[in-house]
Amino acid sequence: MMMISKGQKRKVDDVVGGMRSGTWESQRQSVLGITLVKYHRGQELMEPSLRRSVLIANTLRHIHLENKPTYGLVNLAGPVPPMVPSKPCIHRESGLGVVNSASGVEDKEDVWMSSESDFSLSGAVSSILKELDLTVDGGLGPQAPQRTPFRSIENLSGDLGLKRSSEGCRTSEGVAFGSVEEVMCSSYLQDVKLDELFHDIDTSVFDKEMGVRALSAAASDELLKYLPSLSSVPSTSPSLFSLNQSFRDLNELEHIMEILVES
Amino acid sequence: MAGVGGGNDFQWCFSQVKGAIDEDVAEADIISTVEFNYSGDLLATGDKGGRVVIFQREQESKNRPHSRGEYNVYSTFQSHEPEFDYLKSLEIEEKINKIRWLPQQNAAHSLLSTNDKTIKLWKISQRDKRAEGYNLKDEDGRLRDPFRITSLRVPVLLPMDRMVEASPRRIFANAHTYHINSISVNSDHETYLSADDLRVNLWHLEITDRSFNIVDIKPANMEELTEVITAAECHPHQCNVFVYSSSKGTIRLCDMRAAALCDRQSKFFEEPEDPSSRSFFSEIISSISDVKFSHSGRYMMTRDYLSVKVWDLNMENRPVETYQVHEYLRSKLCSLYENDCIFDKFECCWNGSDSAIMTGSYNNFFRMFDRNTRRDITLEASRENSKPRAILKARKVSTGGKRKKDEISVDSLDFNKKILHTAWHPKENVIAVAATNNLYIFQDKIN
Repeated sequence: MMMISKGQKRKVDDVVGGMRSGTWESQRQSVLGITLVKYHRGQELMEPSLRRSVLIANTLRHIHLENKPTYGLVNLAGPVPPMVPSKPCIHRESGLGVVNSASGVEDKEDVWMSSESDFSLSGAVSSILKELDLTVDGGLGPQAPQRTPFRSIENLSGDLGLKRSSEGCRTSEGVAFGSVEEVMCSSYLQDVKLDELFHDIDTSVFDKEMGVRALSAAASDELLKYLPSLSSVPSTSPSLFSLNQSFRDLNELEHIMEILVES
Repeated sequence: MAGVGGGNDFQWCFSQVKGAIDEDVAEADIISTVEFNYSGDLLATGDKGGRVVIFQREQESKNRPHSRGEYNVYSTFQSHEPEFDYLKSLEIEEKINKIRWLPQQNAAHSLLSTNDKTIKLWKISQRDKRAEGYNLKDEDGRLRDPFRITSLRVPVLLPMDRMVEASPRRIFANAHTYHINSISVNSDHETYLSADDLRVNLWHLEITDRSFNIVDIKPANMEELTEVITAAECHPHQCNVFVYSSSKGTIRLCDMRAAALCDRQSKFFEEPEDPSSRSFFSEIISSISDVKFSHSGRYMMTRDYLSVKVWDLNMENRPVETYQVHEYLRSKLCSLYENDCIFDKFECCWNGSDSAIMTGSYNNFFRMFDRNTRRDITLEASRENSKPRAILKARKVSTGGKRKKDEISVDSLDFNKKILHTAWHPKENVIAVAATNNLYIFQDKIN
């Protein structure tokens, strides 16, 4: 049962016009970077704190939401790109986080940054909470049991059934990662999952939905700077993420999977 | 009781400090909870190593009428041990998250102590007399040959060195999937509640194999989770009422008579956000880290990252009082987010008459607010101010450009020295302040 709070927290439209300045944007970027590093490090903690993870995930959501300026706000930072039809809702069920970039006047770089970071943010948010469920809850699964009052204490050893991811090409990997995770439960694999997520976004999204959008080297470098865990090898190619490491990890993972499946 | 500020009011003096002086602090020695019992004669601390240390107040001595009774170690025991959850490959920390005393019903004392997963009821009893002169056994315990007994005698009670024994009487386990953050004894003295990140359970003190789940905010899909329970407490007089706070800065008051499942609150307390102070960290700093009812039961107090708020239970839309603890940190939130300090959970407490409240801060500072005079004071728990009965000097953090003498600038604050746990004696002006691995006890100066 989802907790419905009466005081639903503030809409993005409260963002004051003056905040859309360069310093605000740079603060947003640095908070985004810190948050992603935090999430990454949090996976390595012995004691994952649910409160901390939820707060970090919510911060990610806020960063992502606040990137959409309201109507009438003018970004003084750059030129005016063509308007993009907007639908300001987020489909969080989809692992890829399909979000259309907001309407409004945005810098070209901002649009690019927002769209691709929308995917990565929503995906990261999803993956944070998904993994929490796996590691903390012992895989009780998404089903809500019929609750009767005065129920006895719950048995902690829930079924280790594979979680059903909603959609997207993450599904099979999510499930596979889930079972591997439960067996091995190492942060290494969790790292791989995040890398893998970005890897997916990179190939499928930008090729199909973004069309031909020149990713400026400066922009990609900037993002790489804020994703230290992913960019172990400085890349001169226009791709955002260092795929080398992901590919290596993926190959190792496949190898492990083969062993597990055969045994 | 009078106020907390300087001047004509009470003046806080150093009384005692417990703990090692070393600069090197062992992680296990870090105090994680502090609690006076109902009379104030006993003071319990729990630490990260799973140990509980109980101090007892000595009776006032005739030789030194000017000094109140000192607290000395009464009992030390290992409450929780580290465990390993093989199912999830996770260690379960032995750190004591909370201690709550039970009302005393006989000569023994009882308390509840909890780590992340298991609550234990400990009985602490003392023996200071022993019987001598048994008929059937010798002084060393060997049985006497009945045929050799020619006369009977009455055993006598003789004083002995006091021996304090702590034994676990109940173990309440396996009821929490998530980390327990609160326990609270009900006013009926028969039940208590325990809360973790997503659920609140109600227990009977005598029954360990069963608990009732009364709040469950776990969503069907964990990806939809945006809010967790951060603290919970039973009302001090109405045994059917309890509150729980959330990471989004809301408090829900529930009535157990209304339904078996208290998923629908009776009252919902939330202060509307001030749009001018909105930042990326607005939600994190609104997360409530502690909630405490006043002794009267009319008010409750909540602690979020930067402030303490007093709520009238009859007014849900805003607090009646707000006290800024360390507003100078608002401009530093990004750094505090980076170094994780923004997730620190500070506690707060009332004095016995509900006229004053206290909470901790960084740099071993702690703050007190007088609700009547609206005066506040910042004090420091440090070894430098540790001369017996030395009056504590008010401290001040300079926020502007000019730093006056004796002020400390925000950038010089030591964020590793955090006072998260404080306790106020239920009847007197005696406070216990936990500063990492040291426990400071301060008292008001007796004129």
